[in-house]
Amino acid sequence: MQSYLYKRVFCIVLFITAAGMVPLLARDLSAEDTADEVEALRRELREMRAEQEKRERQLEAMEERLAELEIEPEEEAPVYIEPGRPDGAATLPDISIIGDIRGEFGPGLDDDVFLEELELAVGGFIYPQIRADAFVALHKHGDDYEVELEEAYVSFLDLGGGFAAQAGKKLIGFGKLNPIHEHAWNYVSRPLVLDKYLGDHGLAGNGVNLTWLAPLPWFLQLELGVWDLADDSHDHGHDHGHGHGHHHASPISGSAVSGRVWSGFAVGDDRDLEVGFSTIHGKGDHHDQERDRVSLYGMDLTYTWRGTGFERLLWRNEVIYNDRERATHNRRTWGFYSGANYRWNQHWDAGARYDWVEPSARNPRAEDMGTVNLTRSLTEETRLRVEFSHDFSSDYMATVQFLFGLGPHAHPLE
Amino acid sequence: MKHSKTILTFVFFLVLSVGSLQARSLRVVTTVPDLKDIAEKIGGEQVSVSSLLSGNQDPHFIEPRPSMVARVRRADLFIVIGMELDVWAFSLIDAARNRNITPGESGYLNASARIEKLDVPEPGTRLDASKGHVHPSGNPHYNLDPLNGVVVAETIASRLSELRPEYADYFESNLERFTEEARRVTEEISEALAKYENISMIAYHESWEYFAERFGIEIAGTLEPLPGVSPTSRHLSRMVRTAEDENVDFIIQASFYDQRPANFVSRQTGLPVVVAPAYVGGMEGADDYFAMFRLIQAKIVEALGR
Repeated sequence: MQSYLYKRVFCIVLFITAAGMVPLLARDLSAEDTADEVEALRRELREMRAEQEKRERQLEAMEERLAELEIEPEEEAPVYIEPGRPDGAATLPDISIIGDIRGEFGPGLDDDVFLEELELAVGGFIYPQIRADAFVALHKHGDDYEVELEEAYVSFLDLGGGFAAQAGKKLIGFGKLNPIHEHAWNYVSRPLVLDKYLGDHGLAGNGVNLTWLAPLPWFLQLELGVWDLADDSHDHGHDHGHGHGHHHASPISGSAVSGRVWSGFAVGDDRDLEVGFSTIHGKGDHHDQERDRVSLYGMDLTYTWRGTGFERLLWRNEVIYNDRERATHNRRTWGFYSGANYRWNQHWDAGARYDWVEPSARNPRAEDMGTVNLTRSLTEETRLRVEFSHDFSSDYMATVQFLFGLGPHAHPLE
Repeated sequence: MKHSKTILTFVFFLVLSVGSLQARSLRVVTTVPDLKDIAEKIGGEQVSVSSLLSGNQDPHFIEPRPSMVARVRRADLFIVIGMELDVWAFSLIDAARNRNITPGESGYLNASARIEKLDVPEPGTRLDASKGHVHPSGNPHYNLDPLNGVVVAETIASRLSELRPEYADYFESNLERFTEEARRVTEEISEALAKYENISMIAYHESWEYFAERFGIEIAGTLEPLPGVSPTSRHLSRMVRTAEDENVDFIIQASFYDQRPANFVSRQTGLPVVVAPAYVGGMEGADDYFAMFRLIQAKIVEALGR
């Protein structure tokens, strides 16, 4: 029994050993007829190559088919790219910096180059149909810089029925230039009539402005504002670089009501005419002592002609009538400016303006001034301007202005 | 008698109701005249279209005017070129008090939506003014490829069909006609240019990239050193060398750009200057989208024949 088991184990071991020896034996055997073997292998290789080529052809065909199929979905799935900013900045509001560097030369001036203003503007939508915009500026006052909140307001763009509203601190929509920031003006110098009647920082106040766009084929907008104007936000007492020596605070302080009717229509394909009437009523800036009340009435007329490419002629006029009522006597004066700008290509613009203001108690002589300038635009927001103003007697001023803009900057409708 | 009165009344009310069913045409406003022409060709009598700009004005920098607000206010559909070319349209939208035309609504259409864009800045490119006037979404002058006109026409047709579903078939058949004509114009230009080998041109601004891409024209350089930067004499002399080294055939520029830089290079090299319309109506004879291409073709062929 046991011998049978041994025999069996021996047989298995022998079998395994023999099986393991087979390849070695085979190798020895094959060495004898190598030629046949090589031929067989070659045949096999040829077959494999043929197979591989067939596969490659199939793969190519499949790739082609895939490429054909891929064109279709591209057409079907358009990529919507809205004008805007690069991906990383998509969640940021529009942020921009406007700088105004000037060189002023003339009698009574330091003949130097300085930073007149640096404005930081941030704006964007805070809700559907609601925007928020803020403009903070650093102004040069003498040798120092003062921070001023120029504007910060919320705009409700569509209240229904053609109504819109703004609330916060804002430049008041009196006339054409007052609501526009100075860096967007066509001249460095402030028209005399604005300087004297609206103050050298313009009319700005805290309040609410309601506007209504009439449902007409042409543009007709009515504006009504209720404001609180600051009691002259700066206590200057010194000249701050405007060159003509005296400071004019806002003539109105405290609460005020403003109104404006504004219409614009195309006259022909390339010409536009705009007419506006503005008014503001409030307490005078000497109200505590003199109980004075100020009413300002303005009329503005703008003519725009657009030619080929960038060619444009802009003729802008404003007349302001100043009615100051006091306990003792009333004083009524008026003044105007008329300025034309011609832009002949993308880069160049030339302008000329005439200012005139009626004499008053403070200025016993009628004042007038002529200004000419030449502007070279590098980009939409970056400009180099040379300007010359003369008061037709002895005083003149030459100004070089470099305005730069950095970042997306939105301008409300002018 | 009583009967005929009833019938008359019935007919009267029928006419009245049909009259009121016959809705007024859609008011479409576009920023540039090419979009106006395409919208008119697709919308037919179902639309009344006006363009804010004419063809000889550069749409890059436009001061929005109050009269434009009045037009946008009453629009059912406002079509813009997009790709930062007509960003001034946004201040019009903000002032117009017309919610239908605000971005995302059915009345606002960015015509570049389905365009295969060229010159899109690589991710990570500085998008400031160090390289001139850079458009983050790519080159916006896609209107100068007639087959892009077809893409725009499709985009407009599908939006018009959304706004007026009952006329979808009508818009579709107009689109077919437009597509046919655009293909014909494309073939005509290709055939006309096929007689000349390796056509190469110098452009004033990067306005002709799509046109060149479509018709296999090489753009050897631009007279502007960088987009939106005015030509300098140094750069112009470089372009004179380029013109000689690279076998340039002609100089091309849109009608509204200053022609002195091109004339300067022309005097130095003897190259002809092609002044061509960049938008519909930009020159006499460019009365519609297809006429514009035929005019561009004629002017280029004339220059190549010299």
